[in-house]
Amino acid sequence: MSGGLPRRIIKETQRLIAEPVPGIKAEPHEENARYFRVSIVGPRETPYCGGKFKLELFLPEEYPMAAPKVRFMTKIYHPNVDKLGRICLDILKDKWSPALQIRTVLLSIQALLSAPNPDDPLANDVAEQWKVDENKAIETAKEWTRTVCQRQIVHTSLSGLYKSLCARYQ
Amino acid sequence: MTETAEEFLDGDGKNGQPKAKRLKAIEDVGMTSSDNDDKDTIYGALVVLGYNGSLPDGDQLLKRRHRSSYVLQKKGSPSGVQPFKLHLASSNTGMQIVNSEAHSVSYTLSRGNAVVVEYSRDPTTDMFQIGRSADSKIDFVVMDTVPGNKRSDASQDTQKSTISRYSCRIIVDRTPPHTARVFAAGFDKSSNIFLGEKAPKWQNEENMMDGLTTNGVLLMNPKGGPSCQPIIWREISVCGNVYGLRKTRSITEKGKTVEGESNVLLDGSLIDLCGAVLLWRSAEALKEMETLDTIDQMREGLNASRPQCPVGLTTLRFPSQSEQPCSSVSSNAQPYVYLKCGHVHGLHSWNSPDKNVADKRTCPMCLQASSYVPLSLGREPAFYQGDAGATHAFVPCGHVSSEETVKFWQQVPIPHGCDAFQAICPFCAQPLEGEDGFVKLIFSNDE
Repeated sequence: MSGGLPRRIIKETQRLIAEPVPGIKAEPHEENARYFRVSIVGPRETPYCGGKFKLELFLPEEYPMAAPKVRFMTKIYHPNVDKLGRICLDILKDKWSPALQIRTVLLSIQALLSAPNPDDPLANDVAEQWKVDENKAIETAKEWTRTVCQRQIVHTSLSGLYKSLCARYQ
Repeated sequence: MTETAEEFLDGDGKNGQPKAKRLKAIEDVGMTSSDNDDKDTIYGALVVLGYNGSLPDGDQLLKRRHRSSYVLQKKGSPSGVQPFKLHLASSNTGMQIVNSEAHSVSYTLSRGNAVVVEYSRDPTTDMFQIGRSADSKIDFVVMDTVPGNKRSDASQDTQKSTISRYSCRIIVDRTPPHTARVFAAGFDKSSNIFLGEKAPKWQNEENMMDGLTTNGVLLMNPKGGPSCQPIIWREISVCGNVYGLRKTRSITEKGKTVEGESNVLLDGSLIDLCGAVLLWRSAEALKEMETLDTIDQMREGLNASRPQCPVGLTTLRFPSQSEQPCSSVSSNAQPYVYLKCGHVHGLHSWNSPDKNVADKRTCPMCLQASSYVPLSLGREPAFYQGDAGATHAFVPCGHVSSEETVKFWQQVPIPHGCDAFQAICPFCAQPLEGEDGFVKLIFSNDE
């Protein structure tokens, strides 16, 4: 890990790896210990079930005095996540407290998947749909999850193929 | 002061940690009954409220007798006195007595008329004198207590002191059960007590003179006892009689006579000298109560549970008395608390941006705003109630103690000003604040 990394970040990272939260994976980047690749499994009994959502999490210089920056990389149909993957979650903004950790932030995002909050939207069109016709919104979310999921599978198998080909010709 | 008591004080006066050795000494001696060598008999101890086991630096000259606590030990020869005879001050005998070595109390009446009560030696008692004076007649030198233990900066003006130079005396029976009684006023260098013209004084039913000192000596036992009601402060006269409080502290009209109560000190009795409050712990209680060692064990147990700062994720620890928190190594580990919620943290700089109230900080754990102060352990064993514990802290000073201890002291009214009372932290004498005057500590641990 890079020198000068605060003890707190080291401890948090160690614990994330040693005791991962069920359904959540967070790994620091090899070259930047402040950058995490995160994946959250869509919780059961939600339209996101069956999906695996990739996020990126970055700890700014002021962390933990300032909140981590988190963004969905995977497309998701959710009233509190916009097209660019930005998340509307109070603890990432004005309700941030340094007593929160990467772990608690990711748990909160997992919980947000279980409990979309269309009254505090980021993606206005999605939120509108959620309010007007919740069933249809949920169907759309399921649909997106399926597509994304399949694309991921294809992507994973393609990259696997690519890797094995590379290995063969090296 | 007798040899034995002097030795006792000198013996532990070298390193500025009087309490540890003294209390150990009590245990080692194991004084159980009068069968022990007389000079080992301990009557009890007086501990000044507002000092956490030792005096702040300074006062080197007085260090030998000006301490935060004093153990009353049987004297080599009886030093008690008792009222003997009343004389007119103008009479020859009266004048002789005042000028002689004999103990006497002079009551100045109107226009220079005065009476002198001659005191005689009492072979059955020992007398201990307490006051601000540094002269040898005073066994236990007591200075005005500055709340918050911040004496070091203060060249405390003795002019401003409200404690009398010869404030009170305690007379203890030399035979078991060694009953101790408190009396107002002490005998001065020439063994006299002069009650000034402004001090209340009167002749009682037995034709004896009695009086109060100008600022008064008050007595109270928080738990009550066979000879006193709980929580109610009384005023004690020069002859040791019990009176209700005056309307305000130093007016000349004495309070009402109180029947059925006495000036006997019980374990836990508090003596208010108008500027300092003394806690009496009986010999039996001294044997039972916590010691510096048990409190230090508790401290180690607390540190062993590895409390964590939820922000820095650093391990916090309470320093021992010898490693005081000024060292920069330990400052990172110094525990701090938010006084409203009790969440314990290390020192950090975060504050909620939207709740920027002066002197207040937002707790990262619960987002409540309150002051944020360092915690320090209550180390004076005499102030603990029940077992040692570090679960609660006094507000606003952050002195850590057990639940029983904080709940006890927050309901003890300590005289304040002319006619008011307030609860204080016994470890630093700061008036308690907030609804309860204490907070339950919430530690975060390394999960």
